Amino acid sequence: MPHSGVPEIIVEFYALARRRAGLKEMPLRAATVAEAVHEITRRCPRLRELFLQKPNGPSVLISLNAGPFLTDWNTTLSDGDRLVILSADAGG
Amino acid sequence: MHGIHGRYLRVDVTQTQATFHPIPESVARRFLGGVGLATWLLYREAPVQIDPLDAQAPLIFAFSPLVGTPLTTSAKFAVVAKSPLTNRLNDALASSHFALAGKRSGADAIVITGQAARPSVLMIEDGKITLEPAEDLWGLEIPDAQARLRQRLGPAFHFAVIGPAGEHLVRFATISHDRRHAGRGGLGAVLGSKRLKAVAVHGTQRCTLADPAGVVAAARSLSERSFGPATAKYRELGTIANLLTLNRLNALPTRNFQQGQLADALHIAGEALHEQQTVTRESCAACTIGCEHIVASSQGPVRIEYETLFALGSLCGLADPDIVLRAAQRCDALGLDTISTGATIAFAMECVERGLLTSPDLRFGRGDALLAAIEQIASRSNLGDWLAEGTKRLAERLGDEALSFAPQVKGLEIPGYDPRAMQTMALGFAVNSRGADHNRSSAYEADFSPHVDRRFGRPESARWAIETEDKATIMDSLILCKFLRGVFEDFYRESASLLRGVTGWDVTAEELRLTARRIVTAKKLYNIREGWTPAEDTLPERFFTQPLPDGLAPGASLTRDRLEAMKSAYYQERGWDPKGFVPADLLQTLQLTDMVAQ
Repeated sequence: MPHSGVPEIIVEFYALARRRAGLKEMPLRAATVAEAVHEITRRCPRLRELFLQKPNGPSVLISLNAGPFLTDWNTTLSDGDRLVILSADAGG
Repeated sequence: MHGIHGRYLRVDVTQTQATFHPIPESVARRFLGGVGLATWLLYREAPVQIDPLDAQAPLIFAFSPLVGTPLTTSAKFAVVAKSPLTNRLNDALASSHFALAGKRSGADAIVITGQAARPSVLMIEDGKITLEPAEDLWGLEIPDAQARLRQRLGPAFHFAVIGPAGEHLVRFATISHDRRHAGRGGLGAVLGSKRLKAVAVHGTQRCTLADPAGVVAAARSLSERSFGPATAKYRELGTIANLLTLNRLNALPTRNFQQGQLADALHIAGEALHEQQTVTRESCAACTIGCEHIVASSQGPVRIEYETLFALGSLCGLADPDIVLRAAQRCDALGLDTISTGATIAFAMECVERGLLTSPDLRFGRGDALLAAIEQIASRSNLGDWLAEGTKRLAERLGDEALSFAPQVKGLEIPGYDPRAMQTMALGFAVNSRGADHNRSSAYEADFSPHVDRRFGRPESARWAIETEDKATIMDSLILCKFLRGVFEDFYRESASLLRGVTGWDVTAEELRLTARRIVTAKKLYNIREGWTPAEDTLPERFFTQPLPDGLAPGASLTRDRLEAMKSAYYQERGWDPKGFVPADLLQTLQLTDMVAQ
């Protein structure tokens, strides 16, 4: 059980993140949001630019289980959590 | 003067006369151009309490200092009038060559009043006007009318055109140009009421730049940044990518705002359209972003945006991409605002469901009924004559129960963000001068940020709603496309720098912040003059009494008290009185005294 104790979560991709990842979802193990982002960008390097902190924020937002958008990437994760990654540009 | 002509052209169609009138440089600096300048002109030119479809009601095309410069996305124009849908100020923006040619006609704005004796095209060439007979164009759909005009006038002229909906005075008819639309609030009906099928412009008068080298350098920098990640979503997917995201957040208006998600949303999602259909990309004139995504449907190419997708799709309970694309194409050809069209039909569908309206086929999920209703609206035939009046007037016919769930504010149909799930946006819908509007408020930006909890609006949300509204006001007056907003590190400082380079004015970031506040309040003053009451700044009863049911994300509810608390904070932050009126001392602070006195 090499991952015992590390929560298993599902990452959902929307909009640009889905297009760049070529995936709708990605199951992974991570204890915090930061660990999840590290793993996501390791597996999908094309997503790296979207997570970069620019003066007006990254190009993606992260929501835990479709709740409020997260600023604290040290937020801890639990088994079964769904990390929703979507584009920060909402307008139409 | 640099960047502007310092005058506007007043056209009286009845008399076939046009005269130039000066715009003092102090006014140009205080109101910039686009929406700001046109607000000043509307206050000045429109008779008080005029019926928007009266011959003397002005229709204003406004350009801006940045139009005609090499700055990316600056080829835009504003169209402003008193709305036949809301009886309040209405501003809409469109892009492309009409803006460039219009400004070269020698005016910073064109104010059109009067009524032609017969269907006509208003030709404006270097400030001189003629009326060309247009009986042969009257009745034509927009693509056909554009093709005929192109053939008749040649490539030098650019034109803004109405379709059959504008001719029939549909209260949400558009003015269209090169597949772009001044979409909201029924400006096409205002042009139609003047018996003008089109306005054609051509000119040779260019404005100088105060600092040509500086503007070119700024343009290069802005263009380079516009290729980066801040615009990637618009470039790679377009706004249609919003649909699945909002569905996941339980914020996608569905079945006339009865739900926040659509079961088969994936079928009409932007992501799916890109995977399953051929999608090509186009740009407006002078734009380096290229956000237009043209989908190859069975009926030919269709330009599609999120607002169209939600209004003609989920709002009507439809997830068939062929139907939604066909409906979008018909709206564009007939000259109908897709948001108001979809919202009015969805509202009628719920009225039929509740037994308030008799039209057996008009049911959620019925694509054939949607397509038939669109045709009937544009021609004002059968039930279409009622639908062509918009949701508010239709609801008033049907009674108080219908009014409680008619999706409108001030008569303008609500766009694609459920206000219970996005409560800063709810505030924006309630207080905005043109009614339920996402583009002028842009408060969705706040809800799509960690600054607020989108499901629990608080008085502190007002500050964010003002921040986004002020920024949008400057972009709509400079004019620049809002899809550029993410590329600026310091929006006001950089915008002031662009304006300095073009005009030579020693404008600062602080001055532009004040300018934004001035223009927002000027719009409010126009509405007050036309009869605005505090009761208008609210949402339909449904949003206070029916919580949004749980979906892929938790449901949400909004109370009247919560909205009132946000409104109070908004009014206070704007410097308005507790009821939303504008105190006399604020007029002085914002240098609006002369506008009101004129």
